[in-house]
Amino acid sequence: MRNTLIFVVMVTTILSFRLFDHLWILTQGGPQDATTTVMFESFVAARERNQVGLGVAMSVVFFALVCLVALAQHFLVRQERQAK
Amino acid sequence: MSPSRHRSRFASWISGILLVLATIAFLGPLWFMLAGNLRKNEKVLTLGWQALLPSDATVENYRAVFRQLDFTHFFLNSLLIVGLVVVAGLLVNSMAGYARAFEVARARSRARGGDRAPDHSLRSHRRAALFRDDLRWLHEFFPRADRPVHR
Repeated sequence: MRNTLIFVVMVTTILSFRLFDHLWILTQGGPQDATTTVMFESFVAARERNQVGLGVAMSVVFFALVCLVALAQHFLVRQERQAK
Repeated sequence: MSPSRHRSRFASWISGILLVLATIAFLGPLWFMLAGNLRKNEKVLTLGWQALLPSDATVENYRAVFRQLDFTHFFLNSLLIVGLVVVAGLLVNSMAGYARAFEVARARSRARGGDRAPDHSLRSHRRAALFRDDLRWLHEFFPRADRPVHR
């Protein structure tokens, strides 16, 4: 089951980074941006405030960060496996 | 060359073309993002097909990301959500997975007339067999050493 679990963790991580709809319905970014996430802010910047360039730049930074998180997970798992 | 060889080569060409198309479909938006990220606001969406070529570079957008907004706060919010979702989801889902696997094992041993109290009613046997056939994929994904996979 080990490999399955690793796969599930990585995919869930990447997929839940793009959470949007719950936020849109529940708090819309919440009291004074307290519950805003990156995806949400980039959407709001591009669509509502007409700052498309800002939204795009934010999603590029976010893309890089998500890649970093995924790579970090990958290397952690590999190290652990080698230690065994 | 035999006709079947021809056909397999044809099929591999077709599948290659389809794969390339799928790759373009998936990488296109990503490329659009990377080509547009250094442009000014008005220019991102108004260029037509030329939007796919990088041009008019400014760092203004990135300055805005880190000056005008509290980006670290937003990212910490994202990380919090991801952490909660992954930990809770993994816990609940793996418990559900083990429960399912245990159920399958029990249904199998019952269907073989296994180590439990013998239950000779036809209905339960049939139900167990149906259940087993239903979940054959599970054993193809998680093969067990003590039992061969029947296809």
